[in-house]
Amino acid sequence: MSEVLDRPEAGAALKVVGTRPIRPDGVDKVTGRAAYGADFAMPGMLVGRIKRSPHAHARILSVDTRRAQALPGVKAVVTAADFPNLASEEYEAGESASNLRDISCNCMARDKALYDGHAVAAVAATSAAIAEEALELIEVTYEVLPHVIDVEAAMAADAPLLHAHLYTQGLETRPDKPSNIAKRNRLERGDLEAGFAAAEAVVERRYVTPAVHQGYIEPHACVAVMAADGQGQVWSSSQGQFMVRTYCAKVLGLEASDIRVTPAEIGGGFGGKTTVYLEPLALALSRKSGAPVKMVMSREEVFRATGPTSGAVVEVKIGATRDGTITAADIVLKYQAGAYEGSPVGAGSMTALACYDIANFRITGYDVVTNSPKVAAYRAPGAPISAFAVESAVDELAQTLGLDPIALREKNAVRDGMKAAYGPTYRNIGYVETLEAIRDHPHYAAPLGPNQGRGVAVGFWFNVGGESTAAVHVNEDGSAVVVTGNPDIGGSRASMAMMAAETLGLPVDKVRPIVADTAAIGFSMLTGGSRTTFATGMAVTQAAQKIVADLKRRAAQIWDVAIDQVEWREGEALRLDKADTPPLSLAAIAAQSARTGGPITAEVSLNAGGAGPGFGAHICDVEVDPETGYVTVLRYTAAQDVGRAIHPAYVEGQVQGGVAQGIGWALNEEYIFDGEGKMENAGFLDYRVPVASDLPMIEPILIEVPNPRHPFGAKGVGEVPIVPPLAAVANAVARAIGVRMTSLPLSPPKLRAAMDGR
Amino acid sequence: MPHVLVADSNFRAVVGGVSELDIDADNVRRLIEAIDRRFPGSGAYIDKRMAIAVDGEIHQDAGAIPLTPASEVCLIPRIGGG
Repeated sequence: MSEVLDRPEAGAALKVVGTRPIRPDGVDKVTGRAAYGADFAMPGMLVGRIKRSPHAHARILSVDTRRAQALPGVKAVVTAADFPNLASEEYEAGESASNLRDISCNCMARDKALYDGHAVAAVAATSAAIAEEALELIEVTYEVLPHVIDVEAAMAADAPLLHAHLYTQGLETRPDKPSNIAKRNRLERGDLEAGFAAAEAVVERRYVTPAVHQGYIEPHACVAVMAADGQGQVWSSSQGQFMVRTYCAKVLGLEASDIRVTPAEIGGGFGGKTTVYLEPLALALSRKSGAPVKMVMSREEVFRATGPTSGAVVEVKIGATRDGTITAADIVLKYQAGAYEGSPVGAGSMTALACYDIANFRITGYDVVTNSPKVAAYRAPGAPISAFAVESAVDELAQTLGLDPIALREKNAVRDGMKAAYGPTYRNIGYVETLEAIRDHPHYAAPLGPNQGRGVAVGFWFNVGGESTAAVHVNEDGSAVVVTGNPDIGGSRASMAMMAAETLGLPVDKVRPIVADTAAIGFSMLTGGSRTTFATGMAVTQAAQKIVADLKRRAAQIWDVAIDQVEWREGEALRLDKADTPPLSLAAIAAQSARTGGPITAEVSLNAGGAGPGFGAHICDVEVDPETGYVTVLRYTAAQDVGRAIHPAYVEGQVQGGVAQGIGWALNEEYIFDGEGKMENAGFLDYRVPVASDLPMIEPILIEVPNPRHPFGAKGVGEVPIVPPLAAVANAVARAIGVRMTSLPLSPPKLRAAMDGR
Repeated sequence: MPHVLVADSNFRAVVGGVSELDIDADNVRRLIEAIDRRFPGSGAYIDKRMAIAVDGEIHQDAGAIPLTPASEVCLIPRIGGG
């Protein structure tokens, strides 16, 4: 359990936290020196390649690897037969329980290929050309089966069945036959019928969002080596080296202590690197060949075989009285899970009405398996989808009632002491403050031109805490090293160094933040859920506080006074009983560490609770070209409650990045499948993410309502900003063209058709 | 005694369909044990799948959190993230 040892006094002047120092990883990244997953190399290293199913759904009748193995230069071939056939078992490794059999089968298909691109075999060879030639020599015999990708088609009683063992959970009675619906969940409150009876205006719509990819620039990549004594090492790009270790150990039937994972620099993850694809295969190939194996996905492989987030259908019925009081909401969410159960429909359900105080609601979610890649987390998983639907409906409700969309949201806003739709009572939230910030911002009153529209939307994310470890070491010259177990996907090295520097009283450039391998630091849950600055930051601060306590003890020893006669202030020990004594700097104490107890070091492990939820409120202006239907985003303002911004520039970057991804989701991005279930746009040319020239300057407004559970008041910030943009853009488009658009992306052909039908 | 809210329908099925419970316990671990005694198997379900909010603060591992008769304990599905 976490414990805050010493919290800075309210209003205490902070010297480092809240400033904008140069990021410690900046020079490496802009000069190309940063070592990403694909940059690592070892002597004698082999090249690994994967043979993938060309069918969206097929029974694997046989895999004949003999010709491939006979090819000169091929050192190893693996199939599902090289991995233990795991029992279906939920295992907690990171943020939530995952089914080990599903993870294993997703890495290497067993019995059935469940999507186009599903791995069926892997090869390690002395060159890429030989490995690719070997893939052609592997003969796989398939029985092609009917496939289903559309979520509602997959829910139909006569749909092709992906898993014979899957029976819908969460129904009142256990079903008597298997289904593609893995789970139904439901949240409800009050009397829905009475709520709608009291409504004087009702909006009822069906919204559709496509599967979209996280779009990280760096493809999955790793190097793995398994020594003859069974000791394995992995260097890979992921959001959690401990997650990689656990999953590799389980998938290969090894002990966790037999695998050491070193995190590479990560070129984007956004949730998509919270699971494994390549690492167990590379270890298996290395085990078989006796040589290190490097595997790097192509962009096409990233799209075809790694997790996008769900495509979904969301039905919303929402009613309000004439004064804007929302009286009832009935929401049905149907989310694709991909090949194995586990869509983010649970979080989508729990966040759907998290911004609203509604007396009567029912939220029903369906987790549906489909013949598409198993979904992976994507920034506030599930929340942007449900927010697109709810925020579009609320906007239409405001139009129907002739009310200002911000005023309608303020009238129904959750506040401290209210119960969230998902259960708990809110404390220390800053939602209303974000609404006030956009209401009072000049953007909201700025005039609009022809074919232009302005949209408003809000969003919520829980933010989480969880297990983290951090160590602080003081060097002999008085500088310090902060060691954590969380890959830096959004600036966490800077914030860790700043919190340590603030606590120690050091300039931040005297603190070097390091992300350590699994053997060098205690366990930390992966970087995700907007948890790292909160939870790992708490561990860093507590470790630094332990260091301060130790420094005071050592100063007392040097001065030969009682420890209560020593105060630590701004990086120096002060002697209280004899004020004219020159202070002892951290460097002076460090130089004498051998005579005061040895190295100065502290490590703290904790399981942080009390993460503060985050809220955002956005305004978007667009212009729609009446001839082409092309949408230009003209102006975007995003207010967010961030608790306390440790490094404001990084927080602003998180807000801008989340908005950019949300705009891409709204306007451009979608998985397009052909009639055989093959992805037709598996490349950045045809799957278009927004680039800088597509976007205006996104103006972030940081609202600071501190989280009292964190030593500096921090809340998670990385996920909230992707929640509102889908609806903010769609609401702006609806107001620009006078037609409500309910299906993403808002591509020019769709808008042209909508405008033609006006 | 502490008041327990069950917001999630899947867990509600594990505890006999109830949405609210009053359980006499002075910390979360003992509260979970008491729920498990009343609904066998529910404790393991909570350990694996649920997060616990005590008076509005969400914990992944809340066992040692003390409870008072006025405490509100909300059992919600465990939350991940991207």
